[in-house]
Amino acid sequence: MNNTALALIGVFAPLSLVSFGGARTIIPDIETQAVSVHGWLTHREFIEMFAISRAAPGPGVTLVTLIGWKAGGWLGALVTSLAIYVPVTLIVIGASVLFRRYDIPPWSERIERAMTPIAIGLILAGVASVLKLMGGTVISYAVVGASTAIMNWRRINPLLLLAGGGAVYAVAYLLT
Amino acid sequence: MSENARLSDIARVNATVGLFGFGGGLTAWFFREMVERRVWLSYRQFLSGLAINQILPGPTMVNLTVFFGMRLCGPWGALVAFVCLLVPPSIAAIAIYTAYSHIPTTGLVQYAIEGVAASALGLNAATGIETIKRHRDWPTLTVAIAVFAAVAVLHISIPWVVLAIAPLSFLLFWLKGHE
Repeated sequence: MNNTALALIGVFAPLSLVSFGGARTIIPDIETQAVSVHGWLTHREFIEMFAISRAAPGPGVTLVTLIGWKAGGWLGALVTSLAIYVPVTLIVIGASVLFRRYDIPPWSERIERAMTPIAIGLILAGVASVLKLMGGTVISYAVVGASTAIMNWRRINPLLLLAGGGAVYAVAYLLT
Repeated sequence: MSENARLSDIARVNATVGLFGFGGGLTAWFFREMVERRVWLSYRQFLSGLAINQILPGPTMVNLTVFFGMRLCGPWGALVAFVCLLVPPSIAAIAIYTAYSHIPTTGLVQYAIEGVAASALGLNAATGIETIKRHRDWPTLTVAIAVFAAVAVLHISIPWVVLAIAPLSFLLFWLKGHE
């Protein structure tokens, strides 16, 4: 076990336990740790990996696997994936054993109510942190704003939206 | 209830959803497979599992499939569900990223991928805003703004923010319940 692998575990295992709402809620810390603190990725690479993890199949957590792969090859990818998935998975298995009777516990709604706004704040903070990484360009604000508005207005196929963002940027590049 | 769920079926369902599920909405796909098509679970059982997994950390779809894999086929069911759901898309993502890094990095390609990232941010923002619209009350707004400020403005690390604000959030919602 080398130092990079240990550092990857140290970063991602604690985040696993607070990822209420999935990977998108821990983007700010992933970015700070992977780009600024440990220098595993450049700004560009983070943006590229974020884009690919959202356009590729599977959960958004594949972003974390990609970071591990970049930082430490296949071992890095394996160790990082285990660090981000295993702690929560053990909790889920515990819950599965504990709640055998398939009732909806009366307190689950109260917990959900209290945790939901935390997830909202974290998701929006993640959007702000990646936007900042993009350098605060006019086009980045325009595309993020337009994509948000479109998805709020009508849930179109997410892949279509992603392709649209790529196309708008490509056209802007060719015109300037 | 679960006699008809075999490990090979659990593997097939999870591999399919993991490799062909794009951009969220995968919980609905699991519902169709496990409740409507294969009748492993009743509607009520699925909803109860969903309610519990939504309050646990981790991506809900991964939680759900491990939860029900365990329920239907024991520890092997959980392991098979986990591996089949996550290994194929993880390898696919690495393959796509490798292929991408071999494309000559022209300005056009770099620009286009940033556009994809910007739209993906829009997807995330839309989820957050949609959820705010669903619960339009003062504790939701207060807690969401406090968390946003702590992370995006003050740059406090997320585990600390969650540990500090979760009890406050419970308190605010308890107070609201007694208004």
